[in-house]
Amino acid sequence: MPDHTLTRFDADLADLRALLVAMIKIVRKNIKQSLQALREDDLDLAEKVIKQDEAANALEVQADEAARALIVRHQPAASDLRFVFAATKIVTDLERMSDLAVNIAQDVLRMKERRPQSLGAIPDMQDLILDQLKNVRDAYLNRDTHLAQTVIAHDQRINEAFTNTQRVMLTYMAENPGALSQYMALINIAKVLERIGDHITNIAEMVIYTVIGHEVRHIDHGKLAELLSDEDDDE
Amino acid sequence: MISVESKNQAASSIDRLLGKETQADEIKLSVRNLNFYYGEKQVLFGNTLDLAKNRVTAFIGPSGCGKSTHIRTYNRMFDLYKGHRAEGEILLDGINIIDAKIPALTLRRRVGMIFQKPTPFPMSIFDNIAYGMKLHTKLRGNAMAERVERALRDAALWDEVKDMLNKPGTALSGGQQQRLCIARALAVQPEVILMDEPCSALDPIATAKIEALIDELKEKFTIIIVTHNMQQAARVSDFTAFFFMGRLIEFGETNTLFTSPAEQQTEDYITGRFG
Amino acid sequence: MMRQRRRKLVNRMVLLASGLATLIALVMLGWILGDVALQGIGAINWDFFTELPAPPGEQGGGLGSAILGTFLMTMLAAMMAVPFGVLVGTYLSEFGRDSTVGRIVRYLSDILVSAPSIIIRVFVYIVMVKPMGHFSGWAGAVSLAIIMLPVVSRTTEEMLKLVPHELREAALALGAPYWKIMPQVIYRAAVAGIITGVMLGVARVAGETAPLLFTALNSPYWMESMNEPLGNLTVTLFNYAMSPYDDWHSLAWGAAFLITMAVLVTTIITRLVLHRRSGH
Repeated sequence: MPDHTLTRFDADLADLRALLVAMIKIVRKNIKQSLQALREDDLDLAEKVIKQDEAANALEVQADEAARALIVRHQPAASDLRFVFAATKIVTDLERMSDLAVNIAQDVLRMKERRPQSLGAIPDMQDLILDQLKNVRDAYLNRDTHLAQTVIAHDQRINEAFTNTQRVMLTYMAENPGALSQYMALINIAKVLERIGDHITNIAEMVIYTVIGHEVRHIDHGKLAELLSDEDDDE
Repeated sequence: MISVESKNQAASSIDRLLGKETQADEIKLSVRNLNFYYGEKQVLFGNTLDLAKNRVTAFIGPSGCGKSTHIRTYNRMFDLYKGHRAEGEILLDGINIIDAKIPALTLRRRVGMIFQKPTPFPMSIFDNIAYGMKLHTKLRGNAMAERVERALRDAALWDEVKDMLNKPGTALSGGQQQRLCIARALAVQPEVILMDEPCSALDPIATAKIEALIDELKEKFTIIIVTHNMQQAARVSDFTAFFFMGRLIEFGETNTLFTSPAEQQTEDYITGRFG
Repeated sequence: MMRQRRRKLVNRMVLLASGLATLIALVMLGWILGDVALQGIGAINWDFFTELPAPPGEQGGGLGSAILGTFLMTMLAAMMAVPFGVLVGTYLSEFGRDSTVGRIVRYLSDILVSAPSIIIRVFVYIVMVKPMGHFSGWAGAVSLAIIMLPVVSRTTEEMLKLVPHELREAALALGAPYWKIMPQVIYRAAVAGIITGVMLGVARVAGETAPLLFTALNSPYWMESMNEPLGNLTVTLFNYAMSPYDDWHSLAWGAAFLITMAVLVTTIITRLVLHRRSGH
């Protein structure tokens, strides 16, 4: 695709993209550090994560303003329109993800270094999530619908990991009623991670929408595969 | 997660992706393989499209792409010029315009035209509106006055001129003059109205009034508007056709064409990637 | 800064020069008109219009026959030249813009417009006066018409060309056939300009002397028919001004005044009529 004749347009789009990438970076850091705080019983780190959320919020506001300015100035159409529209959605998901990381940090603070030994499948969930976040960022930057599709497919595994963790924690709770609140906290953290996974899936769906121009939210994943292979045939 | 509605939606999305029309509008004008020549030079190449009745269709495309030339075939304006000729079929309710099966006089009553520059005739406002009627009808006196009033009302101009019907048409402002031309075209009760960049010479307020008028008029007429303002096309039309170098590149529902166009050329043009 | 000062200076100088030139022109014009008015107005009285010229030395007398003659011949010339000229102008504008015929006609018309009127006179003499055997009012009218023709046709052509192209198309788009569009729309739009062209032609010929010499010649008597030398103002003026008689001089001044006023008044009336008609 050639550049816009109006170079300002390309510059403005690049700025919006950069804001989103910066936000992904902060969110990634927050999630990673919140779980690190959990593993290492690091209360200071947990506090730090809570503070870092402010940066994410600021970026959300900035990104929304950039999107509005783009609409006012350039009246985007077609792929540009989809890009701006998707950017506002993605930003919302990212901001929620940062809030969820704060939730984890707050749980860590509440547990006050008395966390149970076993974390269940939470470490697996962490790896999955951080991987998929990286993938969805790459898919976004490279307009890679197939990578986005794999991200959507992986959501299944995150959900399974959550179910596992929940089962494990419930078993422990039965054996160890005294540490009930700690195990509940861990189940909560696992639930939060599962929700982060859902947000990542949302972002992946938005990436696909931006590229192919079709709504793929809430559709059957089998149909999605069909749609994407049709797109490939067209090109 | 999978509901019947969302499955159908995905299906019709796929249909639209593959270029199949999903609505059943009645067709007013049907163009098949239209070629047009200025003497030896060919300027339109195999244009084929259907224009839906009582809808607004916009023609967009860069200067010189043939969109004005194309709509001028619908009322045989090219008859005025030596060496201009058309080949192919343009079916108005099934009858071919090109091989002169419909006499030019009748055709031009059924297919009216508004030009870029407002062109009030050098006569009073009343006479302007009555001009076409005198050509095609035998109405006189009160009957004519009634039709004149109705035409002016339909063109949203009556209230502004009702006390000055015998003032010359040229005494009006640009936007009013253009509405006068619209009223003049409406007075002969056409079926199709062609508009060749009707708002190019007007300020934003006059433009908005005419766009609002187009919205009302489409209930009774089939409207085809050539515009180089893409936002205007997005605002007023139901269908959009994108022309480039005499060829029809893409044709579809306006919303779809402006959100997810099928052709890369269309995409490049409407997003301002002129290369 | 220096550049700006210099620019201002040049500005002012040019303004001064053009103002001065205008002033000179106005002064000259005023002087001529003033002189004509002063000298001529004294000669205007009822007799002037109705009486025949008196023999030199006698009081009274007027230029009745001359006035009538000029009037008649100008009218006749207009009746011949205007329809013809408008049609030629129409042809040139509507059909002859690119054609060879159009180009030739236009070229010839331009030559005719600047031809010395004496040539026209000689032409009419050869073509009409000689064969007819005598001078006549007809010959006079014809020579005036020939002078008028290219003026009318060129202005008509230019005025018609000024009518925007879209106006024709708009009328056509309503279903009007071309032969209706011309009179109903195009002519109406150009009428002010065409009439101006006609007025220009009339003004031009009203003051012509040469074409009338040796065609209509002149006559101090009331005319009986157009078929004989016809009295007219311009030749009379010429003769009387050259004569040694004072009475005749004052009549000549009166004639000059009359011609000037006639052209002025006609132009003004035409403008007013058109102004009212276009309703602004």
